[in-house]
Amino acid sequence: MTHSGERRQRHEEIVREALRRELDVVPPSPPEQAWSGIRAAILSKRERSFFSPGGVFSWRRLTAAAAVLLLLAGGGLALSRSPLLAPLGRSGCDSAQPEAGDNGAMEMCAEEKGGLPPLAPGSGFALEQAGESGLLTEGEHYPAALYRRGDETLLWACDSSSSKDLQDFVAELGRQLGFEIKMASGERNYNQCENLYLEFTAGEHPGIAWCEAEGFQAYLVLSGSVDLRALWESGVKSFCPAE
Amino acid sequence: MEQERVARLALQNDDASRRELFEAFYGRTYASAYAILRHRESAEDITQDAFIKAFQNISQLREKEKFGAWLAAIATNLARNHLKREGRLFLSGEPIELPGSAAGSICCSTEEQVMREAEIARVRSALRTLPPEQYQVVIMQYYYDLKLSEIARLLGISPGTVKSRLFRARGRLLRALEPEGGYICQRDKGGGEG
Repeated sequence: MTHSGERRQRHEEIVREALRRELDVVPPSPPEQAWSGIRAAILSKRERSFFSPGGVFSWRRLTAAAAVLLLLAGGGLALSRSPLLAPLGRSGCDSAQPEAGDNGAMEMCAEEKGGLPPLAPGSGFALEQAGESGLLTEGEHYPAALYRRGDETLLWACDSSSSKDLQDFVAELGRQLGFEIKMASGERNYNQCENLYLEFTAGEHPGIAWCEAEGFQAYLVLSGSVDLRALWESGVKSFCPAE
Repeated sequence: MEQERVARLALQNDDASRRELFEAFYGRTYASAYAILRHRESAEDITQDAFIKAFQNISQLREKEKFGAWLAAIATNLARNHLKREGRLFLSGEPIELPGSAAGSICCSTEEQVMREAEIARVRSALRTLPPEQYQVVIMQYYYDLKLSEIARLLGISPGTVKSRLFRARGRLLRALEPEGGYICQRDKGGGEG
């Protein structure tokens, strides 16, 4: 195993151990009243399901329930899209709600302060202008910066709060730039670590976007010819537990 | 509790088997909810609600041996919804040790063990600062050993969203282990912000 592989494995073991210590709580005993409440709730629901308040079995309810099921089955509607978790995953837990704005990113951004565009000095690119708004449309836009290396110009942009995923981020970037976006491919895994990245063009400008710990970032070549992939690879950090 | 036994109990789904599942999973389910809510009474209520929902819908759980992970997903979703209703994002206060938790009281006899214990402590602190949706996928993968596709199905979200959340969470946890971090994205404070 390579050194980085050993390090990843070690990190993963530490995370697992940390979680075990967090979750393997041994209470003196689960609260009896909790069990009583659970038991009562289950029993009362079963009694309500086919019994009228008088305690009489309701054939009418059974017939109505059967009719609904037949209609749904006949209409070809799937009652469940999840092999593990059917309607519960849709309504009971709200787990299928769209991740509007991805609260995680918003929360991250809210508590983190400061920050600079990321290009390392070793890349040869020099920061020309940060917070460049001239390229972007009026109104709200992503934080951005311009870098220059000889006749090569690179736009960098990021988002940590509003994009649902990489494609959403890139699409919005295109809108802000006024360029049509074409995805060169779907989201790809960079390596076995499953770092996500996306290659695209904005107008005729090649770009690359990726997930970073704090959000989404993108490079866009505005002039010259830049090996975006190499540039990105030189700076990407990954925490790569085995799946 | 072995997975086979979990599956058998979940399949039986009678009063006695539910009681046994309750006793086996109450602690960790409570801990999952508490990690998000940071409020004991709320965590108790959420845990109870999670068990009720799980038992009422257990026939829909096809892989019965994954009852624990499923229950944790229900509990953490309920906890997240509870926070939203209360208008809170999440709390990231100082770590509070739950009664009975393994607080890392292993006797360290070597320097390596001391360092490891320090790293575990830092990661535990970092875990407690994770946003709920990231925390949720982290426990699904690292505690319940679910695959990405399973997590996605369990939570009713796309595999891409799972990956994205895990990626961000891993970044935070990595920083706890390797403090020299990477880039921090700051929303533009210049004229562009609407």
